[in-house]
Amino acid sequence: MSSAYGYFPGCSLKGTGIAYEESLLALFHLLDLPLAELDDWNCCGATSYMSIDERSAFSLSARNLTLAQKAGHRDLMAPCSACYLALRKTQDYLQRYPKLAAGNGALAAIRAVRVRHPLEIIYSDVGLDRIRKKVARQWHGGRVACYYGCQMVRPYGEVDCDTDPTRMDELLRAAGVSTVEYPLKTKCCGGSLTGTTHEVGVRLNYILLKEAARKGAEAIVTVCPLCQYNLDAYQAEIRRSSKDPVDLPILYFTQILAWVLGAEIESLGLTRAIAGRKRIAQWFKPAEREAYV
Amino acid sequence: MSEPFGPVRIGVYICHCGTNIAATVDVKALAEYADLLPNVVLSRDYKYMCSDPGQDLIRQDIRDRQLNRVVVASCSPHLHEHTFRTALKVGGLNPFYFHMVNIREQASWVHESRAQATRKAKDLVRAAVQRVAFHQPLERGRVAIQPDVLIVGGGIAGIHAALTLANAGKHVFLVEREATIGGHMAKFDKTFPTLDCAACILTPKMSAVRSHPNITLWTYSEVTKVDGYVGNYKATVLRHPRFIDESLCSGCLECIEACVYKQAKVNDDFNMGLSKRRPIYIPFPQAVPQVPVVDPETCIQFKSGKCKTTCIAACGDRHAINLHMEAKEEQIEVGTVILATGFQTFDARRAPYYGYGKYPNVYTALEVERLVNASGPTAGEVVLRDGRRPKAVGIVHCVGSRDENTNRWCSRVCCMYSLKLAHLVKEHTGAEIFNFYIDMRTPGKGFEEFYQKLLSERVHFIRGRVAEVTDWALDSSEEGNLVIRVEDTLAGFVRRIPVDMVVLATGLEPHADAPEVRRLFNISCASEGFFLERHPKLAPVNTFTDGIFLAGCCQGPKDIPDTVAQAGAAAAEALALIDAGYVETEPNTAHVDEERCCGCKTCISMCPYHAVAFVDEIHKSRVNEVLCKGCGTCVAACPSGAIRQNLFEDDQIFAEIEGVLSNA
Amino acid sequence: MYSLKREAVRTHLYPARLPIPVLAEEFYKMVRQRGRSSEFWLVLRMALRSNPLMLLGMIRTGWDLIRTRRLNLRRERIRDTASLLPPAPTEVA
Repeated sequence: MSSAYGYFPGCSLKGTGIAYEESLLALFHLLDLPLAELDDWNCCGATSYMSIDERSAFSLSARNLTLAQKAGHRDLMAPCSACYLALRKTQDYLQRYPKLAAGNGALAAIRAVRVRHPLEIIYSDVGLDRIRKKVARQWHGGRVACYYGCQMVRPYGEVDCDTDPTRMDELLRAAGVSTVEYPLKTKCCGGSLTGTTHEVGVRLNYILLKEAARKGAEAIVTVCPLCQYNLDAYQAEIRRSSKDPVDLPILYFTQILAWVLGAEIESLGLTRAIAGRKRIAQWFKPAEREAYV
Repeated sequence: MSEPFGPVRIGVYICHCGTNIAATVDVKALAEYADLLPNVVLSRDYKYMCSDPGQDLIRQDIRDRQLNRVVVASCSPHLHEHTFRTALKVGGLNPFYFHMVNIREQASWVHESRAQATRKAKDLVRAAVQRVAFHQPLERGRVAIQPDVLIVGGGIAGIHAALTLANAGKHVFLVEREATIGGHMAKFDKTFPTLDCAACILTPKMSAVRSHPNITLWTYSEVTKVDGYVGNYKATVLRHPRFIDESLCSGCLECIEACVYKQAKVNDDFNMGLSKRRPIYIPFPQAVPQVPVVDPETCIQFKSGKCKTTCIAACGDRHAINLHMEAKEEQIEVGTVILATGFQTFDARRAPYYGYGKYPNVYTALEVERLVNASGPTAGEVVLRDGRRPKAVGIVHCVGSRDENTNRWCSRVCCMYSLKLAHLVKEHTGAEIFNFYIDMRTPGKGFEEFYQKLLSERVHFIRGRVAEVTDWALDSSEEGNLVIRVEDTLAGFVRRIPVDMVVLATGLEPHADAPEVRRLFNISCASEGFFLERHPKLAPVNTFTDGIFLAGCCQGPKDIPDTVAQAGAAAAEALALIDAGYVETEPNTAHVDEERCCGCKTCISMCPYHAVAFVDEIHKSRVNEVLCKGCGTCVAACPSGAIRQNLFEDDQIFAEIEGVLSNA
Repeated sequence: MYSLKREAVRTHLYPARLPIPVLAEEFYKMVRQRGRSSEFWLVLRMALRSNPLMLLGMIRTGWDLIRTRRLNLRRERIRDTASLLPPAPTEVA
């Protein structure tokens, strides 16, 4: 039995979402939460695989869960919302329809391993009080809009409430960051649509960015690497086509939390940001310049 | 009734039931088979045993052939057991020397093979013949019915039932939990489809209740305990203190004006929290009784004892205000009870995607009823919370109804009241009105015509279930408005409709404390929580507990005409019992053999009808035969085998089992 | 909806400007064979198969990803690819 959390990065965290992994590892290290990356993990299949071949999609997640169980992990943490949902959905379906699991040999694993998301892990296992006590830096940045995305909270509502999630807001406020009311916090960013039907995807992102700015937010905080990428990568295009001067940093909640809890600036992956770089430079000043603020 | 002596002589009658039985079961062969069974003296088959000639056959044979047991193999006992038992009685035999076999529902209607059906019928008949030999003569009991009636709930259902019974000369106790009768109907402005003013049609009835000599009206009171059985209920009613003596108060309401609170500060529940009231208040101007109430939680005198009590001064010589009034318990004896406790509306906060509680200009339908009402918080002006007149209003149907996530049922009145509100709001404000519906349910008299009238008034109807009410704007035209996002299923695309005001047509639900109330009266609830009627088609006002009837929305959502009709029906059922004077009890009850009872009390906790009591003096259990429904639970549970049940004695049951298995 | 998507993938029937079934199929093939997906190669293959001109529009984004070092050009693969395939039909209960 390993006391570490099983860590399932997923394909995005090794690619465009590398900043998420960097800041996540830094944050968990600061909070003394042991992580162990699953050895030889495979892609979860996300939504595309399941829409093509549902049966073998279950095998993908079943394999990961079995790997986690063999390594002795009680919890398997999947930071990417799509990975989290794919694993969790497989777990739910195979438990309800054990016939599907036949031959997968995964039923034992499915019952033994809990699929969790880092937001919920920090909220439940660490707790707001501990975060408050461990704050090492005051947040000098602006107000943020917490964006939960669509896949993490629905349908199970386990990571947070499915219609009105507030845990990220609570964590950030406990860390000294002010958050704004953001009614679009569970509205979809379009996922892979920015790659396939570009105009539709970009429009969805424009709506999210505009509303955040309208509510007074100066940055958006996310939990999912694809949401972060979508909101981040197309702001220049949006500026050109809408004439709206949007330039919002899109941060991971792990980046802000780790920073406030005292992490080194190099470990946060802030150089990976595309949009909002000026604000990021102002808000995250390395230690020696603190005295000037 | 004389007991025939001598050996058992059984007559068996096989009914053809037209072709219902005869087409599948070989009735002739069955009759011949029955003739050869032990103790059977004669065996006939006949086309329709339940008909007069059929019953005559039985009566004649009892006389001519000295039968002392009868078996009829035909349809279900639920239909004709009573008919044949009566035939035996007329023929001079104890009706419980009869046993009925169901070879229609249990053999003919469930088999396709003639051979199999006949074989099964033979087994069943044999079982009955063996059983009936052990039947004993039994007598039906009689219970006298106390003529007074208790009606719980003073809404339109309770009021109508009370008036009907009182006019028939019966004494009625009308107990209402709130400080006034009138229920939800008192909050409405106009009623559909005629747009009659609700208060104008309700208040005459409320006054009639007040002045009727046969009605004892207890408001601000609750029933706390009920004991007894049909015809003999003993209820305890707790009368909460109003702190104003009803017999001394003249209803001038000067005490309210004189209250030290110049500005009202307490949320007025009658106006759905849209206005405030003082600690001494009357729910609405036409309340019955016309007596104010003092709220001890907000009155200064109760909280600190340091009030000038200007209210008492204003009352003057009448001395009607008594701030030391105590709660009083009344004990009453009634024969029948009518439950008319009504409904509560769905709490719109359970549907957070509609923004109730989050956005100030999202209202529930009842709140808008109060706004439109001339005696409401805004004197009939339909205005938003900031005082503006709305220019566009969206009415969302099916909030908390027809919904897998909240309540599955249709609340039946919401389509009609949404149409009514659309009409009234348009009349008051001239705004553009949008109704968002799934289906338009307008089944009653004049309802469809009302809908057509609305269509001609240029109200917009969009068929689609509203997905969300939100305040984020897609472009400048939506800024500052509430946006309703809905799929217009007839047009085939998703629409965003900016409005100033959203009205949620909340559905009807059972009261939150319905489970406690039903336990108090020993009746059942259905799975959604409404009180359960005995039969959904044929007995909609009776319950499974004799003597307790239902009226109004506590049994299921319905509108005012149906409620009044049901209240009348409940009153009629109560009258039927009262005027008959007595009720006959079925003798298939359990009884305790006191010699064998060891006093373990197992039976008492098992009984679902609280029919077994422990007699301390002799340390034994005893069954109340009036409450006993003959379910047999205690009979089976008794570890000493001390409880026996009429019509289900051990020898009868074993004989029946043997008979069924004899060909196995 | 899933059935329609599968039909589109199977019959290669979709409007050229909406290459969603192509993306889905490429993703499926990649994960089936290699156990992991590589974002860059996935988008490249999808564009080449459906509408190569869309790559021109993606140059700006590609450059942004390169300069922030988020573009992973490695072709990822797991070690134990055999365990990816579901069990043979005879084992199903």
